[in-house]
Amino acid sequence: MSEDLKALGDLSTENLMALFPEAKLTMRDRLPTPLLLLYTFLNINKALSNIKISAEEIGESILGLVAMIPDELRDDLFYEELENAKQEILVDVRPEFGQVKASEEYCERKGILAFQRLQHLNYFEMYHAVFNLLMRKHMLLKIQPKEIFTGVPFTTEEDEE
Amino acid sequence: MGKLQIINYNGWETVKSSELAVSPIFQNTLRARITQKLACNICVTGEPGIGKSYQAIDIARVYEGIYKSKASGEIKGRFKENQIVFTHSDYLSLLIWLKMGKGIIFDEPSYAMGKRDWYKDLQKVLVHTMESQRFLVHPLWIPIINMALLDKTIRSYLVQFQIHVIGRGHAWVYRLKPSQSNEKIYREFMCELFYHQFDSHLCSKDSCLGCKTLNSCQVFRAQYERKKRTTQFERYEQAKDDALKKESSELTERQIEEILMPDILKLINEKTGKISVGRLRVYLRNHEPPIMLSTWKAYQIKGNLEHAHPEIFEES
Repeated sequence: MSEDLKALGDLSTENLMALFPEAKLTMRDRLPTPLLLLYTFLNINKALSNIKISAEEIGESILGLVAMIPDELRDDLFYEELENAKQEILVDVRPEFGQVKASEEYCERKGILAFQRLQHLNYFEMYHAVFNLLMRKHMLLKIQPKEIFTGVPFTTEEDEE
Repeated sequence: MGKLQIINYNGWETVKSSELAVSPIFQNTLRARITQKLACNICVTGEPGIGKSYQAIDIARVYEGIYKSKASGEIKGRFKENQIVFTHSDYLSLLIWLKMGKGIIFDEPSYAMGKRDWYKDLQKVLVHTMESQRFLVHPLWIPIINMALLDKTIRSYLVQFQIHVIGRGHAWVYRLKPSQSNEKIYREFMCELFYHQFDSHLCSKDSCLGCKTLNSCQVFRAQYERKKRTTQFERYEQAKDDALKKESSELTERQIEEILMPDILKLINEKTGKISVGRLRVYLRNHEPPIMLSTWKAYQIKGNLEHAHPEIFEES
């Protein structure tokens, strides 16, 4: 490492840019974000139709997709929908005696946990939330701009009176 | 779904919805370009009778806006029917008195004119518009059936927008951008236009053709139809004269001699006793239809007549 770089200490992008003032980012240096998102979508869709890929793996891919969405693009509704994707499920953990589950009263009397609450992420809800977000940001559909004129002068209620 | 909102745009009623991308986008672009003193030559294309001229007029009327007269309370438009021109001379006279930023419609250049005539006229108009952009800014609308009818230089470099009319009041707007390095023209889709019939609150009829009140009606489209009709009749008259002239130039010598025979004595010069070529030419020029003869042909006919009817000249 050169002396100049050592002197900077923190090798942040800003410091590096300050070191090379002639350096300028161009379009070519940028990551093609739409392409990355597209690849991720295609991979997830391929994984969905592949029986060799488990649900956990698909879930991980969707988490990866969510992680790729920058904070600037996210809105409040997106966070709300992500919250809705978090689900609580109750798992029956009652002991069995002769293939018969113990009653709730028995478990309560003995101090045994009858039902266990588990946090669960519904990955498809998250996937849907991502699509909704992209739709809201006009990234999924190209909406054709329209100009509409009714051909009559604009009048307010006061004018009509 | 997005909420549609009715708003006021230059006095006209329009619809806006940011979610559905409905807004006066083309009008705003036009206004911004005019504010920046940029050229705005717009070709309105479409099949005959689809409503190209009406579309151009409606856009121009919205662009210039309407206002309510304080004195009479009447709603008046800033765009007048005399801003619609049909010939190059009208266009130039309009440039002299028209205020900066006001629009011009050069209507139906191909109508009832020889292809070469309107072609030259249009070329002159566009060149004048480009020149006048330096100090007078006038957006120009040219309704034309097909852009291929325009000169290549004009359609490639002098036209900024193309409005393709696909139905009554329904059109697509394209932004034309010529490449700076080769001959390619990039045609970018800009927006879709929906213009309902204008002045429907004043007249519910969909066409002025066949309307009994056309001669006295004050609705804008009736004023335009009257102006167009007058121009058309002028052009018909001109075309008729041209046709008669052409037909007369194709008359044979024998036919011309037959025309001259009833009044042949009037053509004889008293001093020489022969036919005066000057009188002969004047006689034919005053004839209905006028017949224009070259000197050579006049002498030819004079010789023919004198040879064919020697008795007339001997008597005189």
